[in-house]
Amino acid sequence: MGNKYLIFLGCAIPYRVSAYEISARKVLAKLGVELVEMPEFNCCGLPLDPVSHETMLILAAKNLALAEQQGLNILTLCPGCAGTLKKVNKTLKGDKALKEQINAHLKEAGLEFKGTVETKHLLQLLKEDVGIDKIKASVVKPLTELKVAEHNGCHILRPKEFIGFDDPEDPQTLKMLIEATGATCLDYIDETECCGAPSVGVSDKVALALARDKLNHVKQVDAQALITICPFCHIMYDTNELRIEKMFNEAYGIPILHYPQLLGLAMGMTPEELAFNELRVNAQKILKQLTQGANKQ
Amino acid sequence: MTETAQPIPATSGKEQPIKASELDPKFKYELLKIHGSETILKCFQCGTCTSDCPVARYSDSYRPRTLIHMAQLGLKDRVLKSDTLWLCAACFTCTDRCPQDVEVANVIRVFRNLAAENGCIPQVFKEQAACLLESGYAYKIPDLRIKKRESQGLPPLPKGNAENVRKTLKGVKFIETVQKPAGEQPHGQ
Repeated sequence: MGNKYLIFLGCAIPYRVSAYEISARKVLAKLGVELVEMPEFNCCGLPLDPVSHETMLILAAKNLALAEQQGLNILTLCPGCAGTLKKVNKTLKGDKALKEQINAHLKEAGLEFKGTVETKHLLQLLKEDVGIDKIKASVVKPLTELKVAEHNGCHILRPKEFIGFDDPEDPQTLKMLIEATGATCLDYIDETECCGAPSVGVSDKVALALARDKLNHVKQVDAQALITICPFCHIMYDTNELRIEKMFNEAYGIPILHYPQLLGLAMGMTPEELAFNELRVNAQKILKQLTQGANKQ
Repeated sequence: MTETAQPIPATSGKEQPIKASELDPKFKYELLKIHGSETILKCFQCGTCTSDCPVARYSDSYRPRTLIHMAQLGLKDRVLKSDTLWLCAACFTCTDRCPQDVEVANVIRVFRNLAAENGCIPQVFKEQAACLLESGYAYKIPDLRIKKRESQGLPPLPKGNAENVRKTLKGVKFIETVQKPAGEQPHGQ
């Protein structure tokens, strides 16, 4: 199937994280990854898993069945979608009775799950299909002036039995990809901890307290930006940073960038092309520093 | 430095004395048969799940170990009516670190699914289900956003095909519950 993928957007990205999609499409095009649009898709199922596992299984299997008709593997930008599609694919392939039960539902829409396509998240595709060397070679403006921190999020790594990618206790992929741009990736306390996003709506207080501690830890090491690869983690930090500052009387001013925005800058793309204007936390300070650094060279 | 987060009021009811009549000794055997909670009896109460839980650190009521212990004892009602159940962020740290290979996050998910079947469904999930059945997506994506895609240089958003979503979800108990008019729904949260 080569470097051609069906892109599965999921709901959160078109809903409110378009900068992630815009920047990801631009850097992937530059890296020679061909994206084919899904003819149709629905929610991957994950948001409804807490209330109905059966609903989740049907929704995920329906998406997989639609991709199977196209004969292409799936690429997602959302770790939640990737994790769900991977997990359901593996579960149904290993449980004939459950597969039959779910296929009885899909039949109502003329679909059938067979288990013939695989799913990858952007991070996994960049590491395994594109490769770090090719990414390094694509960098024309190394971001050597920048010191940033990374936030992987949970579903890109856990549960490890189903994800089978990187080490959830000490993940390295995102760090390697950040360093490929020339930027320094700083270590900080509790790097692998959850952002709290799934608890929003049930207890905003718990969710925001979690995000606040993460931002405090990022601030402690003087990171100039936090790099994410998940629409939900991004919403949690970028959209809520001002709210957290107000609620807990803190001051951060840490811009939250989608990884492809960082890579795109290193590839020589402009902040406008990479939709920096969509970010809630202003990134002007680091952009200015990068321009000045480039002028000095 | 970081201050300690304010505790969330405890409402799990675990402080109240347990009456023998509350215990349902069959509950744990029911759980053994449900996809996701087959591992519940392997739990020997070491507490790794609770001590590594990021949510438990900020909430003084959400304790995965306690919920599993209560279920093992047969305190079915208290587990399923506990509103702290819904705080789990499904980060799967507990599952990955459990020395007994208990699928802790999945067990909590089974508790939530059973609670939902009894009508305990937090509002946020009702809204997502309604949105799913109407559009195929989990969120109500504003028309403005969909139209804006073209000017942003993005391809059109693939259709959600809600009609087919509704067809495939026919007969799912949860979907039937949320489709009932509010008055006919079992009393929940």
